[in-house]
Amino acid sequence: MLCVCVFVIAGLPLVTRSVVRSFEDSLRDRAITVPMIVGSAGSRFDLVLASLHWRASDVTPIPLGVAEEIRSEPGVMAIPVHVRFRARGIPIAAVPYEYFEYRLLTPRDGRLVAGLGEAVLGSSAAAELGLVPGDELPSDQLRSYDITAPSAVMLRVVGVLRETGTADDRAVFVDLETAWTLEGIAHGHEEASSITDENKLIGRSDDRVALSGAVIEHQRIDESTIGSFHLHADRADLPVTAILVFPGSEKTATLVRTRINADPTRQALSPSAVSEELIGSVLRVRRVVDAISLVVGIAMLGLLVLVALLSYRARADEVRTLLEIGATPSQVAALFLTEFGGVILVGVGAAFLAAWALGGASDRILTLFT
Amino acid sequence: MRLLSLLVIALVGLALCGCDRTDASPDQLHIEDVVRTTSAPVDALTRRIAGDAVPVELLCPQSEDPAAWRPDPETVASYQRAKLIVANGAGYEAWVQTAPLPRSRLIEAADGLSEPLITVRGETHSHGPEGHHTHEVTLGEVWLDPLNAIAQARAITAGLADAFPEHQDKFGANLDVLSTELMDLHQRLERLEQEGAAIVAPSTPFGYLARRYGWQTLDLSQAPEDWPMDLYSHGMESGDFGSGPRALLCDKPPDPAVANTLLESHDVHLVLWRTGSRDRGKSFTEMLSGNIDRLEASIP
Repeated sequence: MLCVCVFVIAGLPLVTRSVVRSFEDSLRDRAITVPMIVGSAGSRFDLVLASLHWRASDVTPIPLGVAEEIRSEPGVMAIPVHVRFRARGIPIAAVPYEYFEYRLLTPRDGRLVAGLGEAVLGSSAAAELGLVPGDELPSDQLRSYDITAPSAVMLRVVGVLRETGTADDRAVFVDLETAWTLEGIAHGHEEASSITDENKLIGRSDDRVALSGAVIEHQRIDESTIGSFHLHADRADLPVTAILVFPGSEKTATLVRTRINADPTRQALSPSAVSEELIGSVLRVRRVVDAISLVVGIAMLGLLVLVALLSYRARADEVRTLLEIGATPSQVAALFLTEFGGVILVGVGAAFLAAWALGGASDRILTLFT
Repeated sequence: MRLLSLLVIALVGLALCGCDRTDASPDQLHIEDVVRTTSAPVDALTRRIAGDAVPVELLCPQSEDPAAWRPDPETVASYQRAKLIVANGAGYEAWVQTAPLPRSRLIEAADGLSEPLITVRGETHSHGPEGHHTHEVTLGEVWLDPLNAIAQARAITAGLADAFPEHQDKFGANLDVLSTELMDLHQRLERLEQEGAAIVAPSTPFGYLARRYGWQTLDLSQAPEDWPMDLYSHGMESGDFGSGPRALLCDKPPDPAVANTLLESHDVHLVLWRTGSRDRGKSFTEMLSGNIDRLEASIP
């Protein structure tokens, strides 16, 4: 019991420091890989967490055309991403093929996305969902009680990515067109002109066919239905959550940032700066935990001393016997110190081990909370 | 003590899981130094501009119509690995609109056009919360107009120069020669226009060609092989088309009986105008020149 007390006293600050350090490293490592993020004006934390750590949230989208505008700047790469939906609780990250190239995400099993409705799972997501290539995964309904909301789409799992130790491990990757299908902007249904079922028709003229609500949009995208899927918007107007921007030089970075920030509805952020802000907040919390740990530690230490003294008193007969059979007082003291020292050593050792272990697995732990 | 031992074992296991990270193999994402095209006309233009500087591959099989073809996942992966993908654009290759291709390496040659694309009004229908919406179909055969082909060639040259800057001069020189040849063909067609040749072309697929040279267009829903015997009464008898000898373009030969009826009864000369959509490996300018030769020969 004493061991567990020592473990808790030493472990709490050590584990907190270790996890916070890993969290800092994770945020910094991810942030420095992307020089700039462009999105709608609003919470900068939400924008960075959504686009770098796949935290599915209702960030106001920006039109895809902004990515094309940014790309028109010489030497600039722009990768639009869409994060709004989930599949069995795992965020669906809709990315173009360039994202896999940039992050060096390669399949461990199966292949990368090659068509509408296909999904590639991060390694943790595959383990958590228990899915392999060939399985199907339904997207989660955004608003369960809203009958006007687009229906769920059955995704086909075509691959599982190698483990990277980043947020990419716990994501379901699809292409942007699939995300727009989940949004309801793209859909597939029977050819309107060929519908003869009176229940599905409200009216028909030479150039117009009015379909009734009985026409069900396809929820499964396969060989037989993929040809009927079509977009209902100009490509430039399609929504994306954010655009990861990789300017070729400082000059182009300044040009892009200035142009984007000139529009009050948009913002261009440095993920590193935002991450440092976030880390600063976490550090403040860690300092509070440290102070509490110190107070608890001092109290616990007092209790330990008290327990040791009581233990010495309770074992007075044992001490007397030891002295009578020839043990010196220093040998008796050494015996007691060894016993207590062992307890403290095991407790502190276990605390260090816990800090090391939880620090190593902090990415997994943090993804559960983001 | 037992509780602590279990805790230690659990922590070691957790730590080992955290350390198990496999490095990605970037070889699978290797970009190949090749240009992959999606349809025969842009393939012909791209080959002409690229010359022997860079390899150009058309992955659409000969037997398939590029407008309706849907590549399998392995073929899409081949396109994804190409350093440059050249598509016609204007919605011609339907699969390109929804395929996860690397857009930063995709050139849609029709984007180089300065004139508006021709849209064929599709069907308007209403369903769901969106209400009325129209599925407009864009006429994809932009290359049939020689000036459009020049604009497409310029867009392709810009894309090639970005992807392979070391061959920029060669691409520029090849573009100059190709543009000169296409301009000559354009002038031949312009001369026909100035001479007042009576030419009628189905709006699909000849909309761009007819718009350029002021030819009359005919909205026909059937492909030439399905043209009815009474085709003339399906619009050509209208006063707008005038009277007297005329040339009617077709991209495939119709039933010989239909051709004979048009010629003998109405003095309408059918002219086969190859679109080249499936003529892989053929010279773009030779094909166009052959079309103009046939047209000139048939003008009464």
